[in-house]
Amino acid sequence: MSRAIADIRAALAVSWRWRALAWRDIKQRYRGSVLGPLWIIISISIMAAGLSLVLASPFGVERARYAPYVVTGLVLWQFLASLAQEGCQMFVSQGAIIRQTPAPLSLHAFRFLTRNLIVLAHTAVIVPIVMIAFRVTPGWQALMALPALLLLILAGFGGAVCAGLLTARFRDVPPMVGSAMQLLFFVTPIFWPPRVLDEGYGWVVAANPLFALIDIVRAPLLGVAPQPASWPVALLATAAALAFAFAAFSWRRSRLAYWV
Amino acid sequence: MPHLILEGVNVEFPIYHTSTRSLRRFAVSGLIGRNLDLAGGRPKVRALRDVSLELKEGDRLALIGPNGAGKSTLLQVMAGAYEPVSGTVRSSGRITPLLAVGAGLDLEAPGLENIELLGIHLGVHPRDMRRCVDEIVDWTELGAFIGAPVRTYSAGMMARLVFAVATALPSDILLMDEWLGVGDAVFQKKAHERMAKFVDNARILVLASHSATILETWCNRAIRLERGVIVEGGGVAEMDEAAFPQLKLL
Repeated sequence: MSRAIADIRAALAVSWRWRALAWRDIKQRYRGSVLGPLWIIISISIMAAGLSLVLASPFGVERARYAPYVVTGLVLWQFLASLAQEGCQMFVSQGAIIRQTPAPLSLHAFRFLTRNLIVLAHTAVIVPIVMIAFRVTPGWQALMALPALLLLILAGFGGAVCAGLLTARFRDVPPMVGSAMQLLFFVTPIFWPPRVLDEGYGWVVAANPLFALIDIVRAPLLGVAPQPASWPVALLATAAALAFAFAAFSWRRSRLAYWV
Repeated sequence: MPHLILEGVNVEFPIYHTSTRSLRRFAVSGLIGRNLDLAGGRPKVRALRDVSLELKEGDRLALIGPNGAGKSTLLQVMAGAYEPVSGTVRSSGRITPLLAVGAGLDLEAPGLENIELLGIHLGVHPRDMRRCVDEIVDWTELGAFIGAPVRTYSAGMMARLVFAVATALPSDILLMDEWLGVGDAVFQKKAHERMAKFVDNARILVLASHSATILETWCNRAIRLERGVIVEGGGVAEMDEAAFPQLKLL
């Protein structure tokens, strides 16, 4: 465990390394693409427009309220989904480097997180645009979205590190995570409001930590209160994800170079 | 004082058969057949066995031995990439590993960006690397290619770039695996000169090679590995044909 802590401290001491690598990753991702970072915004907008068109009325929500709900939900979901799915590759994709450089291994995790935060930052631009367009005025309580977002980021990061470590050892994990995220996209209230569930199925939402994490960020931005269970569930999920990630990292860190 | 000390280092590679690498198989064997499947333990390759070694300033160590003897693994352990199963590795000073040629390159990015990237992997801040860029570009003689994606380079051009970056800044401990054999005759000669300059600054050199000439040129100590064990060690100068048959062979 002390070695895992030493590893993390060593990585934090050279933060310029993972920050530089994360920016390089972004540059590489958009190389040769004309619209580059705009694509993710465009695809979220198109999806939100389509969903609003078709689903707002069957769900009994006004379009002006549905659109900001869906857009915020999709932005946060996109972030969590790419943490989970790309997270699988965070160590494996760096195999060649891990096998020959004396760098701390948590550096790769921090690089991965930073890269995804950069993507989130430019994706999230769409949220205020939609809020202004549909005249959503949340008031001061919108500030609660900030600590909530921190929680969502930490929980997602913990989950991503677990996925990355598991993938290094078991190469079946990425497709498993992929299909799990696909299922979760539909069973989590991202594009549907929780109240459309039939009586007796409320647990589907209540027990879903992904919804709790999204809810605590989204609700204050839309000027409504999150579900009562959301904060406790989100706090618990974050603590569990970070604890699992740290335990797994300190347990198997020394073997990682042999796996990737 | 840079040093590199290995004490009783053991390294084992678990062998993950394609099927045992699957989570399903792992779960099944864990649930119903733990004893059956793991009775003999997971097959392992003992890559290094009880390797102890002390290197201090001025040491130029040659690693020799047949393929699969553990030379590359030993270099990876020295680099701090592989943590041994047991035993300790202690080092002080900046380590420059020159092990796998392509490691860390971004093939889609131009040469110039890769200089920065390789620098980051070596722990060199882009700010410091920028001061060396002109010298590196000059030395590699890549000309206009420095602005082209590395994907378009020949193997020799890539080797020149990686070698130039790694040797641009002084280092305390240089680890090299079969390196000076790459490239054409012109590169060989140039690399030789650059290497000489770099090694003068590097305080410790560990070099794995099959070429007797290379080892005799660069090293003052040698160890011979066989199946992960140090079977012989001594000064390169005193090495005779009986002790180091493969040096004679090559």
